Amino acid sequence: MTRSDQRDVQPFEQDVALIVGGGPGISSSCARLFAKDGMRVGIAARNPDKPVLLNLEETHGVRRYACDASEAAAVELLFQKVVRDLGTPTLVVHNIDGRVASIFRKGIVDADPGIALDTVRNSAFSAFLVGQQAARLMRENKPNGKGAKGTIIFTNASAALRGFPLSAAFAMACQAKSGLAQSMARELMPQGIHVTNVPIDAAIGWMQEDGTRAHRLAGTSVDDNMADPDRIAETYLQLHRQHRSTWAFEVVLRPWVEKW
Amino acid sequence: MKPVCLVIGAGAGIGGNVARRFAQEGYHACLCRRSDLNGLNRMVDAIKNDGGSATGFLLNAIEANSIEERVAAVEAEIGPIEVAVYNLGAQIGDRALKDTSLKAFETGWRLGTFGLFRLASAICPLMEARGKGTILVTSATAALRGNAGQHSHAAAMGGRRMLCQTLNAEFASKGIHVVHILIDGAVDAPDTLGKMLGPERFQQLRETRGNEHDGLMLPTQIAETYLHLARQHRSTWTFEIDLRAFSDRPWWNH
Repeated sequence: MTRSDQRDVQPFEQDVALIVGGGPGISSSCARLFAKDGMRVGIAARNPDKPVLLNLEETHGVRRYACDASEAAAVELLFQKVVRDLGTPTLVVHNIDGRVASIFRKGIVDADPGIALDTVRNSAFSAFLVGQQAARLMRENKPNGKGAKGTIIFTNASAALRGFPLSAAFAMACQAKSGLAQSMARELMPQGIHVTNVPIDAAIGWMQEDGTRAHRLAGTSVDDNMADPDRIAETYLQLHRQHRSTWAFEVVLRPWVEKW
Repeated sequence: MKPVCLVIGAGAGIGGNVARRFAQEGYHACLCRRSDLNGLNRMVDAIKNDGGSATGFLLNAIEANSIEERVAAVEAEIGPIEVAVYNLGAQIGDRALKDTSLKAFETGWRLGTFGLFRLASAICPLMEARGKGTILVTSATAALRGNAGQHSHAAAMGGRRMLCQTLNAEFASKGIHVVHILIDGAVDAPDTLGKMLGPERFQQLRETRGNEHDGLMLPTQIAETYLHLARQHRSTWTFEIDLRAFSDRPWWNH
């Protein structure tokens, strides 16, 4: 056994998680799992008063924040509030898809330039803003028992791996996010901040009121053919717990029956 | 009957530590390695002293039928193999083309690619019949980058990666989780890196980059990720994961 192995037995102290982008899927699953794991958890969304987020506050003590993460000043303010209320984050998840309804299924000829730019701003640019604030704060953290000052996880999508037709804006946004994540990983990992890119290469089926798992467009999950956000959250937590001698950068998650 | 975790390539690095970690979780660990019966017995005894169960086998993966017979015997005498770990390395150090013999290239391929093909041929039908199984394949930077001097190793590991993809394409939907695990850095492994460098240089490397510097990948910690991968729910499987020390340059920046 080396000394590093022994250091590993120290528990994580006062983990503070911030999830930016809040809805019924990955963000809710992460919030629940992180809270169960003993972390103090904050979740930020444009509209923090969605029932699903109110419910997280009630059941898991998750703190809600209003934030338009595509605005630099708003993101800075968000992190100030989180530090004040919960402490400096040790785990930040950027979980914003960024598409608005009118960009879906638009060919390159028909995509509205303003909406396309909004998509990139909402997704990749907000990832930059969130990553920047997280990095500024985390570099001042003391390393935990596994040698890490913090973890930054970018939720990404199939479009990070392949450009699909009728999806130009989202392809730009996701590939930009991958590039950002890679660059940040190279800069920040040697400083003790773990940066990861997690493309979810599948439809995500989240729990509905009737107990089934379903996706708005893809229908109901059958035989685990959609990604289960509770299981995605388990991998996020494992990434956060990795020892700094063995950090993963990119983890693609997809259901067993997914063609790729 | 305990589920079995079969490790092909169980030295004191990743293989031995993965076996030990799975044994802690209630698997019967079957440790296979080519030589060093004493080292093998020490690892098996350590697992048993830990309260786990394990069996050790000497296995030369290059020999015809060695892998196939081991799989059949373990299934018959110990139990169903739920997790198979293919952890044979094929790194022979940097060699220019003129210094890479036909034999060296062929050996690389036999250990790097063909051995995995043989393991898969033996084990996939069994796992498919049971509707579940996990095959964790240790791989290397050379699977993604052909660096200078890596003719044999890169071709072998590139083949290993593609084979993992075709296995996944055929068997994922049949319940077999295949994972290509890219070990993108030096591992603190006395039986592989240690032997390649010799005791003095290995000790020096540990002092400058390893130990409290955490710049050498710790096999005990790598084993945690192997365990997580084997436990992933089928709604969110990872096919490929890259691991490296925080301070190391990743393959895409070399």
